[in-house]
Amino acid sequence: MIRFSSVSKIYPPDFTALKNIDLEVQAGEFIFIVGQSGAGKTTLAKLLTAEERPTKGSVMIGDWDITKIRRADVPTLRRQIGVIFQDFKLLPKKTVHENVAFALEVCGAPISRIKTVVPQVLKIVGLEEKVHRYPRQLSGGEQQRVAIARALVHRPKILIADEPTGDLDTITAKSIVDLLTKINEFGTTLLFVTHNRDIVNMLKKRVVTIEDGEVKGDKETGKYIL
Amino acid sequence: MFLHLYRVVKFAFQNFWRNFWLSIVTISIITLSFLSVNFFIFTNALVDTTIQAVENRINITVNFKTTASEPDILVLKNAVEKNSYVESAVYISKQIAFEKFRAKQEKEGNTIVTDSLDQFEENPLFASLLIKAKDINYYPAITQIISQSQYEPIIEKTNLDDKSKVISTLSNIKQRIQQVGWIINIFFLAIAVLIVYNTIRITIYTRKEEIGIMKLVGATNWYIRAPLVLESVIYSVIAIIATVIIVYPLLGILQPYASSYFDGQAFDVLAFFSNNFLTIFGYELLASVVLNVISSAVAIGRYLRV
Ligand SMILES: Nc1ncnc2c1ncn2[C@@H]1O[C@H](COP(=O)(O)OP(=O)(O)O)[C@@H](O)[C@H]1O
Ligand SMILES: [Mg+2]
Repeated sequence: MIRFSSVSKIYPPDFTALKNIDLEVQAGEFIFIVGQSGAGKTTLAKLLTAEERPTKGSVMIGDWDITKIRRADVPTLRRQIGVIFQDFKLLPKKTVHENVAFALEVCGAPISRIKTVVPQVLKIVGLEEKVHRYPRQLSGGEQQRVAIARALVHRPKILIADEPTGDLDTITAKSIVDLLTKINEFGTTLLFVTHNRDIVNMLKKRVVTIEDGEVKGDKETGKYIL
Repeated sequence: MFLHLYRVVKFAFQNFWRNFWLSIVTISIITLSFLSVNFFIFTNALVDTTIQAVENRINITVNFKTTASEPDILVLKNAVEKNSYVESAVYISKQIAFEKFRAKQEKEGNTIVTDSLDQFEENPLFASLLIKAKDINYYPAITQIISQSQYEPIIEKTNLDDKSKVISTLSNIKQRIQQVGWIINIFFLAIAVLIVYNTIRITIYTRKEEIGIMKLVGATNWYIRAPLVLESVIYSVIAIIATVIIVYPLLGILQPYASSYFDGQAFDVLAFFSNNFLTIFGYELLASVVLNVISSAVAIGRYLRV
């Protein structure tokens, strides 16, 4: 599904964020990417969404070499990859419903599709009762659920969660992890970037450890070791 | 397609309202540059009309000897009329000249003159020919035709009422106005273009978050860029409407001065702008839209990274 082959990323002028990354992720897999702050985890995620281009090597999604992706094809790529972040990235002046619908609107989706998809994804994340609230009227966990709902509107094959629980308390974080696990069980490949030891150890999934831009460990049912 | 357009228009107006004061400032500057262009058009039209008015008063008057016979005079008139330089040649016979003169004196109440006129047995006035050329530059050529020796016996005096000095002065003034006008117009247009550029830049900046999210969820470029370009077009459209709203009352105020400036020959500025409404405001709008689209496109290219 995803294959990094000898990928390096040097930020101009000369900062090496990733060095010779070889990594393969199967379709439907749940994989943790762990490592200290500044290790290069977010950079890795940005290579998948073509927000950054690798300096060397290639990134494949299926048969698609996205290192050679044309500008015009970037939106198509991003519709196949859902992304959520630590800071949710919701629009404060839009309601829950509008935030989710917005993602479909700006992709040119017809109204009929918006009408069916938005309630569906909001139901998946359990927010069907709060569709008319504004982000500030929601808890952190609920805001992250809105972001997850938004990431799901295009039925992505891949979901990247970049430290999604970073700002949440343990119990709320747990519920978000449960939700993501559920989404993964429906068949979505999940890249879970985190440095939360408890979550990693609890789930017993594959763990890839990144240190100074290099893969330092790759263990099935691994633990968080640093 | 219609749906896409609707959404783009919606987003464009959202941007417009979100930066309301910035939008107002931008529109004001564009309006100012429109006003400057229109003032230029106005002064140009005014000078043109002045020149025209002066030109219209230029003519050649040929006074014939009292002894000249009417057929001889008509031969000259025909020869002149056939000439392609000549706009018109009006023959005023002795009789008509006399009646005109008399009517004029009566109107002014000069009874002494009218009474003494009646004393004449013979009409004392000249017959004359009033010649207008199609262009002021043709007068010398026409004068030459008249001065041919065959006509000499019947002509008392040829009078070229030459206002070429006045006209060349006016032409100079017109040139000056155009030079200064262009400089001022370009100055205002340049400012308007920069302001639009900056406004779009600020819009991109204030919408950074939203644009980031749009990219994140895979929005097409069209949805990201088109509203910004459209926003700059909206500025032009509102500015041209504001300009029309400002220009017409101003013309109404200037109208009496402009028409009294030319005794008799009225210069109707209102009619001038109304008759050329589409040309004047249409081209202004078109030019402004083109400039704004270019300047917003440049701003987008520079500040909107994919
Ligand atoms: N756009 C950038 N330009 C230059 N350096 C960057 C840029 N983005 C990230 N970096 C650097 O690359 C390194 C890895 O960053 P990042 O991938 O965000 O790490 P992580 O997500 O693991 O904390 C950091 O040292 C960071 O300072
Ligand atoms: Mg990071």
